[in-house]
Amino acid sequence: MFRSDLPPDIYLSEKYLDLENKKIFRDMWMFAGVRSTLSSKSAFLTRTIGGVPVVITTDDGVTLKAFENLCAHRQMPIQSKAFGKRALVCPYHAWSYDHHGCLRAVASAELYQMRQSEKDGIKLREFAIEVIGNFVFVNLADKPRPIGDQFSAEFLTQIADVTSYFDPQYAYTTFEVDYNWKFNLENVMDYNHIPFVHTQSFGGLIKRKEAASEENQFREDVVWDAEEARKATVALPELSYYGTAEMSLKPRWYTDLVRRYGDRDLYYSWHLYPNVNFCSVAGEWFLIQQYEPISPKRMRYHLWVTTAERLNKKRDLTALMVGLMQAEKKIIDEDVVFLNNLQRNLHTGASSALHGAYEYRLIRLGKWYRDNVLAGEV
Amino acid sequence: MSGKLIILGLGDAFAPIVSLAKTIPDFDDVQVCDLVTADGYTFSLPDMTAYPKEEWRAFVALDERGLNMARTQAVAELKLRGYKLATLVAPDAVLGADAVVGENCLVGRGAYIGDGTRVVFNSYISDRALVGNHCVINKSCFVGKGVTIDNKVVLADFVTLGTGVHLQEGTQVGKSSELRHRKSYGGTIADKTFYLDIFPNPVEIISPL
Repeated sequence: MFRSDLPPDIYLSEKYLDLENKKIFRDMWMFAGVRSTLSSKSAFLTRTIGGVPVVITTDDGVTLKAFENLCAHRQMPIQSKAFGKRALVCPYHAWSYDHHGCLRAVASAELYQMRQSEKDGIKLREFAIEVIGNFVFVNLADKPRPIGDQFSAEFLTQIADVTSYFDPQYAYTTFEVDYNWKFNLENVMDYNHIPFVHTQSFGGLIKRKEAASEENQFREDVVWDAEEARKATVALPELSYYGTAEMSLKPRWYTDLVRRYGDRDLYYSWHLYPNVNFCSVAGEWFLIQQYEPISPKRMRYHLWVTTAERLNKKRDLTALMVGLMQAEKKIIDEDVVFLNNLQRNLHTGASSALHGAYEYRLIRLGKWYRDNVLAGEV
Repeated sequence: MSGKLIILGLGDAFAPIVSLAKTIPDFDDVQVCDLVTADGYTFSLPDMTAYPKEEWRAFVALDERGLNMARTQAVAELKLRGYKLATLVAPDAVLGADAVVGENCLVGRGAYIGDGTRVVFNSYISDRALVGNHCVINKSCFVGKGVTIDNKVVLADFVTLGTGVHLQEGTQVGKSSELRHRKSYGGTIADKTFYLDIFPNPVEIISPL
């Protein structure tokens, strides 16, 4: 067994969330949304990344830009909805910005006595943006690392491929839960909780042996050395990975209505460090879930559900998407009961986690965190 | 009025609607027939040779949500076959002056439809729902029990209102929206907005913009 040397305080203390914002959320490439929702003039979406409000927008449906979503005048959010179609005009005093984030015009300009040189110098803070397939990533760092330093080339290729199967229509919602975002990350990486926590829902659909051997490349017949695990160095791209598991599914009425990803009844799962998991049941529909920290003991869940691309665009699968989203929420609620309880009872003096061999990915995750987030800071 | 009514349906709505129809004096012969389905999502009409269209009116009884669409398809198929569709209004429901209730629409027990309100086509107004004056309930809507709708409200097609919902005067609810949070709504609600019990915030449908 492997005793983690990460203190319980990483789930409890504002100090650690500040560190995570600095070294993870404001330093890494963060999933921000879906490309196909930004395909027309003035389309936008807004997110909060590492506590920073961000707007991603396009003036032509082709080129995307990411800016801090705060007006240069009085720091009012320029876009207030999660998504929509609207020019970059602050609703507070009607300052407007062009596609480069430069101040374009000011209503009642005479009130400001603004010199042209001052106007020319006003620009929204811009962030780096990358589009991989249908996924949009934003990086808030002044000097962003190449996205290839965060995700392997093979992983990025796979993301580009699978997301090309997404239908352009999504169901989206958010809700908040009372636990640290890392608990959610660790929970989705832990397939062995499924038969215990999800007995009544999808636990019976996943074949455990397949989950173990494929998703985690873990073999029960290979002796595992905890000391070797302790010494290993973990590279950032290793924290993002992909897996499949066999499922026992009944026929679905919508199978022939979509361009399916793959042709087997598999559960597909992609983990994008730090806070995205997306999965698919049989390649027919996809769930993206993202866990945004709000405080050390609270996070906001973002959920997107889409089907694989509809073969007939006139076929409305809205009711299916909403039904699937409700089904997923019931599964998430099963986890929430446990994770809320975990958070509520955790305290500074509690012992650190004790991991076994099948949890080797959690161990590597913890090692990376210790070496890269805590190093030199705590 | 022929006095003969064949009700086709499945699911939770079926039995109460049959029960209601039997209380309506206009119909002295009410028969029932299951729609045909293999998967619970897609439906087809059964053999109806025992119910010739010249003698029987038809009514499709399927409940809300995805089944709004299934109900629409079944109704369309019946019309293609030449059937006249019935309108079911409970004997103790109240219809205001100039209120119009269209084909395959239902107004449940104790429900109230205000003056000048139109329930256009294939929509259900459940028991004890109160719809104000000069409202428009468009095609294939489902208004749940005890819903209160103030004056001049418009529901676009395929809207579902859950039990206990209140719509303020002038509210416009977009197409295919589903409001199930027991609260008061006002203003304009976008197409495909879902306020569902299990989610604290609405589920919104994002289409290519």
